[in-house]
Amino acid sequence: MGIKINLNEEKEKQFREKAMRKFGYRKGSLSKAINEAIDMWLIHEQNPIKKLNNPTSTIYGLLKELKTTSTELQHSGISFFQKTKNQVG
Amino acid sequence: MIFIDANIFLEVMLQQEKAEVCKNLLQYVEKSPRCAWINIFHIFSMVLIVQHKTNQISKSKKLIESLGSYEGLQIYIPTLETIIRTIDIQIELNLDFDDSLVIATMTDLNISNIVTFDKHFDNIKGIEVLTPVRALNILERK
Repeated sequence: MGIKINLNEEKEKQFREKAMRKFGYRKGSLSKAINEAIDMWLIHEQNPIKKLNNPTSTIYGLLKELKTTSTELQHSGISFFQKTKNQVG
Repeated sequence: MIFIDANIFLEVMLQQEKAEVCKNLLQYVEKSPRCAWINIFHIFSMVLIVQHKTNQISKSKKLIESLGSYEGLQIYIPTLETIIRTIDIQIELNLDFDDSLVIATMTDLNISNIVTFDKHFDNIKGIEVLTPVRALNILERK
């Protein structure tokens, strides 16, 4: 069983080059690469989340009680990677 | 194609001075297929910010459900090679990990336009910093 697809020239060139570099310049390399790509896609698509109608309106004001700027808050984010579960309320 | 920095989403969440222009941009991204990118690291970071700053885990779930609902927003998951280049950029440009990862991601994606309020991206070769208004103009022209 096989699937026939259309790719633009540049994308096909990039794909062939990467596949050959990873799996070798031999028969079957393209199939291996395509199978790997499809496996990844299937994992990503296995439990799609339910889409909201108005995502921007949903997050609007979600943190309005905070007194800080968006850039300061963003740069503070990295410190939270180091905190443990019991520090979250 | 543009890269959207986390502070654009945070500005909307904080409902601050520039929230309306950010909202206009994000509402365009809601409906326009595959026009923008964000890095998964920024998504983790925003989740942790929401959880730690509000102590309400349910709000972080709302954020994720929202991010997953943008037709135009693609999520970039960096490879180990990207992270190695991120560290090289950190050393070369003396930036923090977060900003260096953005530059490495934009290089991977062959994108030069970033919409951000972060001044750290000013004067970086190959990177054009856009305001939300300008980013929206560029997207609407395409």
